[in-house]
Amino acid sequence: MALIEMEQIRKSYKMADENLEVLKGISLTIEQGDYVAIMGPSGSGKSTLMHILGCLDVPSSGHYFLSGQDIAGLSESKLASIRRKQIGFVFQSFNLLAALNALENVALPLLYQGVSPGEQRERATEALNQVGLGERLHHRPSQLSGGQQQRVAIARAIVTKPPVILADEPTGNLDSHAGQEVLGIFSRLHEAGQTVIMITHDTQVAHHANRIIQILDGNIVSSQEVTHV
Amino acid sequence: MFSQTLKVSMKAIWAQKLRSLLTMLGVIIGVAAVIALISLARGATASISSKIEGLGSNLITISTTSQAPALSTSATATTPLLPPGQLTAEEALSLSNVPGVANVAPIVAGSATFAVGDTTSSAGLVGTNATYQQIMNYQLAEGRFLSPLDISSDANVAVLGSQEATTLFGAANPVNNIMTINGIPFKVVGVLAAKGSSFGQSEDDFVAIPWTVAESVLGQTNISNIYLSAKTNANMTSLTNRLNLKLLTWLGSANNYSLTTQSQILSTLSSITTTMQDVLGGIAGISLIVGGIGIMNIMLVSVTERTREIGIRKAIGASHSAILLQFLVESLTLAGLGGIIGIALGTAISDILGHALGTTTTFSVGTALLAFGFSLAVGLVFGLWPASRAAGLHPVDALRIE
Repeated sequence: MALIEMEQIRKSYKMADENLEVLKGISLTIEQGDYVAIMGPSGSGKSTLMHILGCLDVPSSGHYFLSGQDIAGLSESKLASIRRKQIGFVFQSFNLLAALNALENVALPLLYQGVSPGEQRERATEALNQVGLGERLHHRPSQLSGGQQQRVAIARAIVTKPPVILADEPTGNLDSHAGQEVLGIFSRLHEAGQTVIMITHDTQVAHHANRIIQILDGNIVSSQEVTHV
Repeated sequence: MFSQTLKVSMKAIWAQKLRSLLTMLGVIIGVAAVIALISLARGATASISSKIEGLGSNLITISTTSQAPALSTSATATTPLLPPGQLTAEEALSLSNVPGVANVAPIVAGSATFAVGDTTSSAGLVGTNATYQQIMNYQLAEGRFLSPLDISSDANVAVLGSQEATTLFGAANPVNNIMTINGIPFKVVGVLAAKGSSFGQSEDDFVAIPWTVAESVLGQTNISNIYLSAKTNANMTSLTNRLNLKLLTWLGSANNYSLTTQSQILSTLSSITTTMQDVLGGIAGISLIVGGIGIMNIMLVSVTERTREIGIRKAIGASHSAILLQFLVESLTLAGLGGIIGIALGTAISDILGHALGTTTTFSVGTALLAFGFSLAVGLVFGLWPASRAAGLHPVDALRIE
């Protein structure tokens, strides 16, 4: 079985009297080690899809198998446990905690896994070294540039060694140089065997992936392999 | 995990120093009030109790409650039968024949004018006998107390309370000097050591003379009080029963006198002070609850402000219980810190008040622990709702908040 399998995922929200259907039957398969970009204009439902992929939300109907386990219908506490073990998030706006320094931000997921403080420090340092921030361990987010903050966020996503890295517009708030740096890290992670799913509306950014899935109005309209020249 | 959560909440509290202090203020004031009020109340109780116990636990006081007849120098001294409700010194002294009674001091009391040269003063005159000093636990500063011979020979001798001695004689030694009482000359034979005051009344502002002489000086033979000492403080009940029997035959009705033992006074006093402590503690407890509501208010604001933080924490795997714990620990830390500061402040306040009012204060570890425990409970109860609100936030909604 593939790492991620979605069958006929639908998601609708009650708006006043009418049902607003955001996802209208998405089916997709993502293999272990793949690097996939999900593209679509705003309002296409890609954010909702990402929430479901990241187990932040459950579909209204359909099945979503992550590492063989059906997510649909799980309780919020089960979802939290899956997020803790299986998913590493990278957000557009970094979403670091301002009161914590880089090391503490990266160690946070390990805290929730119940890892001992000594091991937390060790593994967080290692993850920050991996993204080239070994010299900035005790800097607060406000003391770091946008690109550095996003690299801290990537370190936080990989520190638990999750099967899936889920990145939502990771270069959206960055200048092109910092954006290239971040995309370079994703490529390196992918080469090392990491599964990466990236949501973007930028075609150039999407072309760093192996495969581009286009969605529009809640449906997948195309899924193409990328040929790297 | 818990110790790290504690560290995180300490950081959150430290990051907002002023707000945290204002949040804690309710609990600080509540706990400080509990500590200060109860220390003062306990101190007052202890000092009054020790004073009463200092009088001797086998002291019995009899007071007649009807008014003395108007002063008429003519007949009263020679009339043996008094109006109902009056006791004579002879009757009082006969109480020493009651089994179990050690000493009896009758008191013929009134107000008189004392003079030495040009210095005059008006104060209490106590006509009594030689056992008064021992029963009332007075020490002598100078000279001697009244002797049995002074009583039987109607000697014009006086013993001064320390305050009255200072008023009349200043720094000079009054012993063997002459003073006048209502114009009649008396020789001073002794001065009592200072005893202080109890219930706000000085115990040193009086002059003692033989009761036999006081009857003629004051023109009255009725006595207002009798002080008795029991041989032991065992069997006090049967002794008071025997005394009541005598007093009823003399005075007709229990409404005409009151008989109190030291232990009765102590138990009445302790019930009053216990009630006082409960009332004070209750009032202070209410302010603690108000402080708890303050904590809840700020915690709710804090949950709203930190919605995004909660969303981030949930996205990276924090469970419902981890968020609940974080906010509970934060409100507990606020309340606990407030409790500790409040205990320190309350102790300082009770010390300062104790010095200012000249009373002793008693710091009780039990009260401090109780106040600390209560403030933690307040933190728990009033932190629960904000914490469960934080924990119940949906991660997608929480992340959407900017």
